[in-house]
Amino acid sequence: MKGIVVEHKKRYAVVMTADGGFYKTTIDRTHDIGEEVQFTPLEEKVGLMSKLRSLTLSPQWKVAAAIMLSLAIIYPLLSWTNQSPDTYAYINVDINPSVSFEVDESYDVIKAKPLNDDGEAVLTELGDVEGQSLQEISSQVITTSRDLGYLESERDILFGVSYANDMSGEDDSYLQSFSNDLQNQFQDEYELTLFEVPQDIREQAEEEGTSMNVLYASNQVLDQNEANDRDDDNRDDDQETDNTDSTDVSNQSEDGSNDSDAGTNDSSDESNESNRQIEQVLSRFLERMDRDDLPQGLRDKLDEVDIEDDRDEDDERETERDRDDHPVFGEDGPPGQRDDDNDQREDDRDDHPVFGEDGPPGQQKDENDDDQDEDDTRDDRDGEQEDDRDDHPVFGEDGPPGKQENDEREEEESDQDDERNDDREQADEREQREEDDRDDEKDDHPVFGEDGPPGKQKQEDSSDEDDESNRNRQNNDEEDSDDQPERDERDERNEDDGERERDNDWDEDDD
Amino acid sequence: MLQRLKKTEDVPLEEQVLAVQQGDDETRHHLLSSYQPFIAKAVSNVCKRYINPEQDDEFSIGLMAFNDAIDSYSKDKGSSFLTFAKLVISRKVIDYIRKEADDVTTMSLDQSEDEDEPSTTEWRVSQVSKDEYAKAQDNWYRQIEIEEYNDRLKDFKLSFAELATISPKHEDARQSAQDVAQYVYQDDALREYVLDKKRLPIKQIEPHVNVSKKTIERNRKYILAVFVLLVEDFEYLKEYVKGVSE
Repeated sequence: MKGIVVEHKKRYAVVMTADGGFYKTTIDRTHDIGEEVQFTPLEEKVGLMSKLRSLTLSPQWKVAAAIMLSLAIIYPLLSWTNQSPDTYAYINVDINPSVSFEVDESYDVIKAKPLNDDGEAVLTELGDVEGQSLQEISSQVITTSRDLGYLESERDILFGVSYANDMSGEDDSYLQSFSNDLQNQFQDEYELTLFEVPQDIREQAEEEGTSMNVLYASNQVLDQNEANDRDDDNRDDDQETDNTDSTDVSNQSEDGSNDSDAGTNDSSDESNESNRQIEQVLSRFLERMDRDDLPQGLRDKLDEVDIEDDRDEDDERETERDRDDHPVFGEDGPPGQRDDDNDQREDDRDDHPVFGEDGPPGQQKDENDDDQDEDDTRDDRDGEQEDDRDDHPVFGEDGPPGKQENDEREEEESDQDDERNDDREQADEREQREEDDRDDEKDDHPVFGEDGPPGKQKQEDSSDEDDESNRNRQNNDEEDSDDQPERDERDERNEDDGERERDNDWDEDDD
Repeated sequence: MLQRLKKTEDVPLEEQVLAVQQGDDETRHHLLSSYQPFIAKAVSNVCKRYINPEQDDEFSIGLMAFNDAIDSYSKDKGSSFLTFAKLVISRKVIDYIRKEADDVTTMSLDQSEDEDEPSTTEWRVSQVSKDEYAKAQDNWYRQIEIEEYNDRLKDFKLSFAELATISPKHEDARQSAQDVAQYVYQDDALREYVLDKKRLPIKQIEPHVNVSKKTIERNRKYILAVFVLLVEDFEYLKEYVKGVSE
């Protein structure tokens, strides 16, 4: 064949024939481009390589290859961050075999991952779990663990739930029914604890390559230990801080799970309570954990705390043993649980002269209706105040007429300090005395005018003192300090009250 | 360089060339002065050496060729003015060099004539070498055009090597593909579309040609390659592949 050389390549040349065909051939490089040459076309090898080449040459294959490649690159990244596209939540199950599940929005398992050797054995036993519901898998995991002999009776089973995205306020009805069902199924044998693990803890756990349950448990227990620590050192002085601590903890762990049932009266009580239970279970869980399984840093931290709190921990263990027979899920907890759940520091309070053994239960609940988010400190104090008022020697159950006003103020101003409280009580006293005075004026001694008879004054003072003694006793609980200066102050204040009282009367006259 | 020049001009080069054809001498001077680097490059491409505009005769030939190209450019042909001008310059410069070479040959012949008796064998040899030389000149023209062709194919993301792989081996298949290319080249709208988008509008073509859509699709690249050959002013190359261009 004849053609003109159009291109020289390393291994061949391209020739164009007169009829417009292009051919590859091997010719001498001495032939210039544009030169007409005699040639024999190269036989195209229809081998694998040329097929591959033609594949790579066609654009649609290029696109497909590009997609495959990018998938191949992205997928390990996704699984590395453990964030499959439609992962809705992560469930860690810790029995002793520990397993981690990723579930989609309908709580069907997308992925299961063993967190230790036992977990691997259980998963192997279960076979293919993907696509099954969390409910089903969880009960299978438990029964399989039992069958494999991992699970002794009356063991804790921990379910840590962490949502892939921020799901606070999310509907947790599934988890509730899930926990209820499992609870019913294994009630007699095991204790199941369900808790939510904050997202940052899960991420941290992923980074450290540990179970998020363990990390969460250690965090919680460490917090708790710190709180107890402070509590022991200066229980009376620091009660407020202590309370704040415990609220912090509960806020941290409750978050989404309780928002949904905020409407019910006793949810906050019960969740606090269940939080405490969870803390206990968590600490037990940690104790049971083989220390070697914990990450080094965490272990050190725990050891540190252990040395400091050796005694405390023993005590705790004792109390915990007492509590062992409590059902674990807060929602289902029996009504009487409350007493037992209170921490040691709260036991102190049980002897409170005003509240008696039961503490201020009713009021707290009522007020939680409106002031769900207010911290315990306030609730407690309010309760005491109300008790104060209820037991008031003069007005009895109904309190002074001005009380309504005060209550309103209470609700408006959430950040009260002690002074305010005192003010309010003074106000109560003021009003109370006003009434007394008015009575005095009308009935007994119109002559003595505003101040009333001297004798009456004394009587009033003594009634005031009743009040004060109540208050002082209450103060005794809050602060162990000498109450003598306090009393002096109060006397002074009472005098002040006298003056203010007069002012008040003037105001009323104006009306 | 060219890009920058084009950008500085709001009016497309082709429009300017048409304006010059209408008698706009100012633009002609502007083009001739501003495209000197382009001309020098085109000339140097043919001569395979650096061209100094101040000294080399070839450059003034190129300048004249560029001027001619301005006058003879026709937008209907489809190719861009610069491609056209480049080919015109190449041809003129080759012509010039050949003429110069001929003069040398003539001189040598004269010199041989100066000798007493020029032998017939010598004459014959020189005649043969003259034919060889003419042939070489044709190669030269074609070489320039092939290089240009290769550049244009690159615009369509095609290469000779690829064409060698995909061009239809069977004569009939090749002929029908060339027919399609011919049709696209003849149709003004289709030609503009392909030059602009660098791809075949198979749906628009299919109803008008006697080839199935599948065949067009399969020979898409070859059709484009033939189309480029038809569009550009490849005088010598086209002469070689007469069957294709007619």
